Amino acid sequence: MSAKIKKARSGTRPTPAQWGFMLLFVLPPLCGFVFMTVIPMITSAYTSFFDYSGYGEMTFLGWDNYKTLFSDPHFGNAVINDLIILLGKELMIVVLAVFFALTVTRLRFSKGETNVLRFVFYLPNILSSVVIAKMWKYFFDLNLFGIITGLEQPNNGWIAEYPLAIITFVASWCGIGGFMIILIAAINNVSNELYEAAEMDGAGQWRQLFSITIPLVWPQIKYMITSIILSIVGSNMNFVKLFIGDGTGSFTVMGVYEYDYAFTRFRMGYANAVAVVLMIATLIVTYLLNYVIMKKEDD
Amino acid sequence: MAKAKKIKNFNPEKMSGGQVAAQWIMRFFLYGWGLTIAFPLYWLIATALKDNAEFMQGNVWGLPDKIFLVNFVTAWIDSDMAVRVGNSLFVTAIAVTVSILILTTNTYVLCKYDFKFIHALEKFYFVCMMIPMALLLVPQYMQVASLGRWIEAIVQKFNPDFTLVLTDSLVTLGIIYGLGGLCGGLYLLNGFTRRINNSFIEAAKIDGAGEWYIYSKVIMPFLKPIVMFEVLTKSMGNWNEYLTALTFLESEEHYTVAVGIDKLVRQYTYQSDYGAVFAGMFISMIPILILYCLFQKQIQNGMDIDTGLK
Repeated sequence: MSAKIKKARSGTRPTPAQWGFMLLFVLPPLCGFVFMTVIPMITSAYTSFFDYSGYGEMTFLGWDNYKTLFSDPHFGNAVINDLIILLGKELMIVVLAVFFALTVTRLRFSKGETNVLRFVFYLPNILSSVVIAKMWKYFFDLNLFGIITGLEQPNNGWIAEYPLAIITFVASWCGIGGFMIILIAAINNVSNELYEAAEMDGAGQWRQLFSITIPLVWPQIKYMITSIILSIVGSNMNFVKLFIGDGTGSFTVMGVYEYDYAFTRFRMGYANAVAVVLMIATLIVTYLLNYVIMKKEDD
Repeated sequence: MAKAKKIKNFNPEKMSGGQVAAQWIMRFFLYGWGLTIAFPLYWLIATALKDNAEFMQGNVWGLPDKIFLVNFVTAWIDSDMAVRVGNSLFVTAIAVTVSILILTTNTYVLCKYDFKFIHALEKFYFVCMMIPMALLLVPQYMQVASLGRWIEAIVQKFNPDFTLVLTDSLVTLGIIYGLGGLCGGLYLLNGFTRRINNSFIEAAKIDGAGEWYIYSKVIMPFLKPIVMFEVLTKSMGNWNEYLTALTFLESEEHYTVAVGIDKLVRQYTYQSDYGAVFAGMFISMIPILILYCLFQKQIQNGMDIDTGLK
């Protein structure tokens, strides 16, 4: 009997029932997924060589869209802004989430207090980015920030003056709670015996932190870093669109730059050239960063 | 044993003076950060309940003198929040149904079918997780629009009155949401499905169970907690989603809550009716807050397993 099962499992051909199940449930989503990701990538590479308004005729341009793209200073700015926000967000989220998680676990905050903090800190993660952005936008636009801190409002408003700082802060504000919860669970999973043994060997609190806690939660920290990288383009696009608007101002990021050319200026060909360049660039950067982080883990 | 240790750990007598001091200093920072979250939310709710005249006359921070519910009426009826809440509920329901059906069936096939092309498919989905979907929004929109035009042209040969706008449709949006979470969701679920012992499936097969029976009666019960988490996060995420909805929905009667709030803010800021704006924002938060309060434990425990590291 068991030989028969083994043969059935390691067989190279699916049974008719398995074919049926796959045709019904695996093929349609696969087609949908390919239609929504792979085919748009191909068509956008094709459209990027044309002048196209989204409707009607397409005029062949050759490499013109790409030439315009690389000579546009706004494009470079957009990429740099994305990178700065990424860096600021990584720093702020990793530092604060680790700091908060360490505090509530290692300083032995009571269970009830930890739960209250978890409840409050996680709130920004679940709220709509529209509500969050609009709320903070009012906070700065009505100069409530100036009233609280006693600073004088710049002539064209806080957001126009310091877009990078404000967007980095608000985007990090949304992300810290979730990562803190992951870290709290990870730190609580570290066995107490390790700390007791370290204490017997005379290791101080700092030594315990850097030799026990941080190495043991490193996978979680790594997860934080990668997941921020993976979501950065979309998140920046979201917040810049909500804070600054249509991207007609001087401040823009990659996603908004592309979006703006497609739906405000109706230059689909150019927008697709932007998409192609940025797609390749972000894939390379994401891959490299992940590779570096994964490598460190293997050592 | 572990429990005894934990209790010992929380014994305040064991803490030294330095630790107590450190705890209070850190408490200051933690509550400071908590205030940056709690205060804006308090401000949002207080303003929503405040007469706009009172807000303009300088009572920006305080509690309202008297509760002013007209704001909610203005937001709910005059600016069509009622329609938008309905649209969002519809889209979210489609998105969650589609994505849960797709995710659970596909994770069963990817983890438990031992064929070469299935392994290749799994790798394909894994690699696709790195694609920055936000950049694909423009090409995706064009793709869906051209598919709509293509179908329209074919059907018009038989029925000249037929018109179809595939982009400006709540059903399309729901399906896009459902497909959008495919790679990440599969990555998460596969970690669980792989841990289900194959002997359960083999035993079911010996008893003559079909594929659907194995999926629904063997795989699904094991996946129940993680599916619960997926339902919760997907509902909240799709309810909140802004960019895709903004791109695809054109006519106002199709706007979801997120797009509607954005429009509401633009509209009422010109009229300086802040009460109505904040009431609109508060209405859009209510379903999320209810879900969060009811299922806080499931959502936060899910966050721990979400990393796939446990």
